[in-house]
Amino acid sequence: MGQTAWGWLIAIYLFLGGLGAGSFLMAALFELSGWRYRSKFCPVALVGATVSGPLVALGSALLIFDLGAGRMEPWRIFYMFTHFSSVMTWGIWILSVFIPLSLVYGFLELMESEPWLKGFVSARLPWVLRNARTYRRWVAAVGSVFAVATAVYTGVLISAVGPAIPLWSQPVLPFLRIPMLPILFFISAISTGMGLTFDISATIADPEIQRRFRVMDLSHILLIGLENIAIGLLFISALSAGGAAAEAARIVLYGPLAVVFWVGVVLVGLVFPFVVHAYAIGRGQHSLASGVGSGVGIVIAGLLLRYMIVYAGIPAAL
Amino acid sequence: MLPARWPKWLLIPLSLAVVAIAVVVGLLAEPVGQALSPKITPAPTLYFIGYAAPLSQECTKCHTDPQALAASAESPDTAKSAYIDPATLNTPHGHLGCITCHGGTANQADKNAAHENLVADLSKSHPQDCLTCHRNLPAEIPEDNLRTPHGAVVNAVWEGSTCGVYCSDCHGAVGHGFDPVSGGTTCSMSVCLDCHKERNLGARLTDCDTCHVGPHDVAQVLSCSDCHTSTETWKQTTLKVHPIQLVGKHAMTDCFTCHRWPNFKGLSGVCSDCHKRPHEFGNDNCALCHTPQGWAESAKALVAAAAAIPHPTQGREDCRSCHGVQGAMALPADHKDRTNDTCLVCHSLAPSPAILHPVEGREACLACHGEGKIAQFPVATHAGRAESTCTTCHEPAGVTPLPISHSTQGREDCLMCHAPGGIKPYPETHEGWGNMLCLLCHKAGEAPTKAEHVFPQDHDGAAKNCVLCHPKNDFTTYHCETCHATGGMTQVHGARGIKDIQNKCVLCHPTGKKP
Repeated sequence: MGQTAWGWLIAIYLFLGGLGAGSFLMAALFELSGWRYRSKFCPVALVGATVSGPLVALGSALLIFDLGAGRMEPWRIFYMFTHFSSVMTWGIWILSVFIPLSLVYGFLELMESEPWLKGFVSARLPWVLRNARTYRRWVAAVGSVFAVATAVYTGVLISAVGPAIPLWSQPVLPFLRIPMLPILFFISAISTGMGLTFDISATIADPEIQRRFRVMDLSHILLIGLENIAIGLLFISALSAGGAAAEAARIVLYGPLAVVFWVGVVLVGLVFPFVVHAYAIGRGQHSLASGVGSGVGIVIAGLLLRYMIVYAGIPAAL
Repeated sequence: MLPARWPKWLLIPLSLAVVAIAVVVGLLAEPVGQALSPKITPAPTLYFIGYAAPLSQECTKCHTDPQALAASAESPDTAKSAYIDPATLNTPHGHLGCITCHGGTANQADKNAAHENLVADLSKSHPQDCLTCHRNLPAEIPEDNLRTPHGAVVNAVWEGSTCGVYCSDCHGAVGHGFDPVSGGTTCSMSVCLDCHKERNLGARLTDCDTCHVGPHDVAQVLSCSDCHTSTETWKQTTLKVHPIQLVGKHAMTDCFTCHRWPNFKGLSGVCSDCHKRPHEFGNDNCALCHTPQGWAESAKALVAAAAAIPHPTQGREDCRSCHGVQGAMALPADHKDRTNDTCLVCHSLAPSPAILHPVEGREACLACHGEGKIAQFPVATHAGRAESTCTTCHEPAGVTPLPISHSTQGREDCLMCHAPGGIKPYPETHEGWGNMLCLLCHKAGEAPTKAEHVFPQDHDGAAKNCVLCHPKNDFTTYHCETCHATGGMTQVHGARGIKDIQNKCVLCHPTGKKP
């Protein structure tokens, strides 16, 4: 049995934080690379920019809700803005900057695709409309920094618990004492963001889009490979460390979370998308169903991966 | 695929809906997945106040100060029992802080307020709290040969009941210095026995297997008490069931110095199982020379008792060719398996006296030597020996007895002149020999006659005293240096250019006078 102090709310927060940051980075990639302007309408940029802010904000609300004191005395959260030696203070500042930036970015993108909003802005804020592309590029560039920080922070937050929960603080390699979780969560954030904005939204809006962006299939294969390596190293490291870390790994690999891991994460989130995108590389395209299915699988696996990590965080015995 | 007339913003709620569906799927799939997954032993989670040492500072401030305790305690005994050694605050339990296990009120200086809702023994009032950290308690502790009731105790705790046994019954004040794991403070078995009797727990107190797991798989033939005689230490043992009687140092040796741990196997009963032969000679049958009474001492006794070898050994290295069981000089029965290379380890060389007379023509030794014969030999050691064995030990000395320098006719009583005090006494080596023996060695009539003697026999007052010129009556040469010192003669002759005069005096001085 894993730890129960942190449950689904924290897992969903970590998931939404990563998904929001990944979606923003996808939109920013299309914006800053100019791919956004290859067609009149870019669903990746629209969805990525508009959903990132709400997703991260919702996740943050769940985090606050999970904290009993924060729910009863919400003003106490302001104490955390000045405790700079705490990882949570870094996170609060990152989220406090990223959420407004992503909401602004979402507004600028929505304005481009919705004539009624464009008209509204034209009437009241004409200078915004005149410099919309410049603003979008600046917001995308600055926001990307905070998006990366948000994605990494979700892993840093729980790895900062240190040796008290050995699984969460497992290093990348025995001689490389960098915690694995920030790296794993960052890779997963990019992967889920790509799954939501490109595989699901863009494929639904324009099934032919992957013909124009073949690089996305290759990127999926690369991210799946990296995620495989990160997960493998995490559990090899945990098993070899023994104690609570090994017990956590056993819970995941052949314990109560075995089905969640092997089916929900490995099969649905890694193997199936790999087959879809490898097939698409060979054939030049994939179907609407397989594209959307791959995206849904990646998103669900992203959530289950975080729940699995949180649940398996067994405290070190004295 | 999205119809052109549909607003593009629909993609946004559509995407959010997918996310919501993913969350719902995750929430629904997770319990199903857990239900389908293998079950492993549940591990409790921390739910008590963890790592609360900072909240316990008021507790430690008072309980580590004997004076403060004495001032506030009801009696000196209470103060003494409430004292906490500050060193124990640095143990794992100490780091938890007092209130984690004992409750009370954090950071409260007032004694009564601080002790409100105090938990004296956590393992009795909240036994599940101990299990929060101490998971997977072993049923057996092989390194201590202990079988524990952890399973029954833990099961009772998880079921919310009690079996009447609590962690503190065996582990005492683990948070305050008692450390059964490190052995810093050990628990006597008498504590266990007393507690079991008091509680009438029904354990078979005389059956060791109830609480102990033995390392030896010998239950079919032995019980613990056959060897182990103490309830305080395993090492105290008796040898009453040993299949062979052990004596000497073997009786004082720990069992597993010789036997293989843990089941006493692998011992073939020969010395080389345990002992390494420190010398090249001999074989692995150490018992030929050594006994368990003392490895070196027994060998030294053998050496001291060994008879000397009365003959030379050069060219006779194969001792057993003569001294074998069937040999000329058979060995004692206990030497049966000994090898040639071991003989000289014990037996030293002590050559027999040499034969002082010529042996040619006198091969019948026993004609003269033996009890009642003219030359006695040691009867005790030589009795029964054949003539053929004499020269095995006694070798001719290789010396030529001096000839008799005078006629023996009418002078048959040699001792008349040659006895001690006579005009020419025999050497001490001839002590006790009678007249009959003289002519066996000394031959008469070999001295030069007067007519043949050129050099004047009365030279410078020699008065026919032959030995002055012929020491030891050796008439084959002469010796002038008795009177004419070599140094002086060499100097005198050298001054005249005459050199190399040694033993050449007569060449120039045939009459004993200056030329």
